[in-house]
Amino acid sequence: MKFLRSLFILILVFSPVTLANQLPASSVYHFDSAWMNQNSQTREIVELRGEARLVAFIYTYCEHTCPLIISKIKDVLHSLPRDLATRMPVTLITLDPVRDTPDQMKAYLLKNSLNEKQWEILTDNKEDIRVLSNLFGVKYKAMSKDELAHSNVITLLDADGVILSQLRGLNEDKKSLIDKIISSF
Amino acid sequence: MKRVIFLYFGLWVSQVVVLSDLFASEATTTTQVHAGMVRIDGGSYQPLYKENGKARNVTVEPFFLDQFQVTNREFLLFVEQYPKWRANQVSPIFADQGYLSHLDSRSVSKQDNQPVTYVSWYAAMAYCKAQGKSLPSTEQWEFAAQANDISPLGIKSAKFKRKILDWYAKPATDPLPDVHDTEVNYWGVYGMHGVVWEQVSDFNSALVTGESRGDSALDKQLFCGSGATQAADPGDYAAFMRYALRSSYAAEYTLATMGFRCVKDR
Repeated sequence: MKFLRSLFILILVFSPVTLANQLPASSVYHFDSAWMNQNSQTREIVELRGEARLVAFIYTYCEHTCPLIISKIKDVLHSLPRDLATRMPVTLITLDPVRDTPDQMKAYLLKNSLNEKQWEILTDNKEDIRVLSNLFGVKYKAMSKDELAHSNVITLLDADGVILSQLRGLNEDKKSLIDKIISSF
Repeated sequence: MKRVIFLYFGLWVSQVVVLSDLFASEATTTTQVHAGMVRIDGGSYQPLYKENGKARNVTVEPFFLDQFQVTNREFLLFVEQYPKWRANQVSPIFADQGYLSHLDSRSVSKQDNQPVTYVSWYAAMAYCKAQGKSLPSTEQWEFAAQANDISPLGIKSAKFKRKILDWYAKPATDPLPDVHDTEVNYWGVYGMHGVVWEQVSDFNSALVTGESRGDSALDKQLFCGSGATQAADPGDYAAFMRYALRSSYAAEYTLATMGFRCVKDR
């Protein structure tokens, strides 16, 4: 009887369902929060689970660095094998929830020819954005009404939301990030 | 016909009621009261660091601040309600090993009214959110902390500056006081100085410059040595210490000497 019970517990612990549901301890998807994308659709953070993805923090009015972050991401994607380059999801998080409305975010994707099948921008209230920025080690600060200073970080998350690699700063060599992406697929 | 008139009268009454409700709610916003919080009249505040070589002034809108730091008892109530913040269940990305470690061998009620410490920034944010509040911004906190017992701008007095520094110089070995047994300032806020460091919502805005084209936008002017030449008030050493602490803090850290209180914007 005791044997049966331990067998039952073992099955429970190692069953594929349990394994699939349990997030790794260091997953950023532990942060229960509901975001909104450029089509005003609600995106629970756990919905991002399932595929490795690139994540970066931007704001759409940004004149200096954000266009550079976007082009750096494009550059990274272009260096990947072709099937991966067109399928690797990219999630952008706005740092300015007041000005970056879903319409504004949608227009930004269009303007920069970013395919919505691959690219998405998410917004939420300012507290949740602060929490998420800390989970990625991103610092930012409003400098004036129209300008935010922020760290330039491109992050690779694995399918479970664990940070695998980060490009911190735009001059950093992209090779280590690219190697990580390729080896994680 | 009688019915129509009656209906019309009814509509008119309901409109009057709606209108008077509107006025009533307007009246309550101007004299808004939140239990355990005090209103901090806004004003202008000069942040520690200059921008482009010029001291700058920031306008702080009026807000409501908790009179007291959040206590051990209050935090434990929150943890009971939100099990994912229990010491044995919290995800390691939200809090380091020290999280609530001081409460393990808790003697029943002795620490109840002491400010809660060993709480990470994530946990403090979650606590305030659960109360319909948030952590104060750096500007809100620093603005309220400028007050001494008689003036909102007590910090202008050399004597008050000296007093804060003396507090900071005191070794942190004494048991923490009951939050009610601390000094009260002009606004009616207790223990802003001399008890524990306090969390702010945007601590991770320290060390960011306007020059966001640089790599991590790290602010060279804040590094050792050249720091003081950029400060708006180099005599405010205590503000330097708070700034230094924030810029070296990470959101999962839990410290024996760091607590928090919450704000409401309106």
